[in-house]
Amino acid sequence: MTNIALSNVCNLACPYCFAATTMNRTDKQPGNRFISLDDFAQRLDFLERSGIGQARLIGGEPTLHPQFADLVALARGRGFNIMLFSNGLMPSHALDCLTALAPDVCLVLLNMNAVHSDGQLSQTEVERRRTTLQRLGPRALLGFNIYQPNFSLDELLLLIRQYQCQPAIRLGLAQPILGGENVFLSPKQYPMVGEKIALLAQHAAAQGITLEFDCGFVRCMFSDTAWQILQESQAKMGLHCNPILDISLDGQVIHCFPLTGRVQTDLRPQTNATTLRQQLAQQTQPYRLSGLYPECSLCPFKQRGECTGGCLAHTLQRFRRHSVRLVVPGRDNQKALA
Amino acid sequence: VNEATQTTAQLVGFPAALWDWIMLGYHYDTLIQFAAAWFAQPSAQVESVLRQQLHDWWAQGFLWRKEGDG
Repeated sequence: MTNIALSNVCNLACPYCFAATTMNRTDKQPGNRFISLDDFAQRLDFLERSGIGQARLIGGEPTLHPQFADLVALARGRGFNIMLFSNGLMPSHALDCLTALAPDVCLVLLNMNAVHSDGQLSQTEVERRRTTLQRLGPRALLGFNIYQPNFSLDELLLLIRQYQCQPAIRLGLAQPILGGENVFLSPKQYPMVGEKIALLAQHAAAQGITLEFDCGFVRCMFSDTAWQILQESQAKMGLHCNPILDISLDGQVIHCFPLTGRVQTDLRPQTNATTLRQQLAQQTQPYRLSGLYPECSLCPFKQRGECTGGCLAHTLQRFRRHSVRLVVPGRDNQKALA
Repeated sequence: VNEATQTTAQLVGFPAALWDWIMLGYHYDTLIQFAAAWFAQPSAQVESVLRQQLHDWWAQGFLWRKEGDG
């Protein structure tokens, strides 16, 4: 998969936002807030030569692009299916454009807990999001980012039934942005959250709705009983962390948003996704021996390849370079700086 | 992880404990005391082990040596 950033502006400011660093950085360049049609066409060239049939559009809030409909038309004209990542507060022209597409070529992943920096949404905004859901219907897949242990999916289950959205909820774990200051779920809280997810999966399955995992989940956050419940609930339990390839407005191919500025490379003519993934995987390879917990390196799940050890951003944080000065007395009076 | 050379070391036992102690900022003399307790041996005997470990990490690029600032 490869995600193409259409804009670096957003009408919300989630405290856990993964894209905040990219947005802050490119915001400093006036006039570089939206992708140009030419650059977008080049991104599509990249997808084409990589054999990728889906244009995954991200932001900021991608629908705020003034030429959003033209971008979608361009991608559709070249035969790409559309997958859009949105907070649901989209302009009506963007919504019109999406609802004009058949559900089998257009999927909109709506982040249902996208909020302002104070964690709130106004009543008007809540209603706008519901209108979006109502109009998108089966084109909508509901997503939820877990950034604190207390959360509920009850409202989402209700909305899915009410608006005949995709019978699934995509769960994400809020991960740290390296060098950023976003709110994220501490790995210490994972086991508590894991038990809760299992119960929610069971509850959702009873209504014909399945849970899907985004990247960064780890096997050990689920007890064996919880894992069994997830399996019985038909949950799609990915335990992976791989280069996603997020292409920023300035043509940087990032491993994924949390690793912005740390693991990235330029988008060059003739390169394809496979080559770039290998290149980025090479950069992170030494850290793959470990994981987000110190115990990961000896974990049987990891050794058997059943779990990748969680989000690499957590691992890199754990390995961040320390400046510790150790004075070693003796003949050569050596000093070690780790 | 030594990013420059893409080398890694997985530490277990005493080296793992020693690395953590260093990262926690303990003074060299305290490291010797900890090592003595770890091996249940006198300080004078464990210091050579400690020095050898530091030297190995320096040689592998996991530690940097700085000279001449007192």
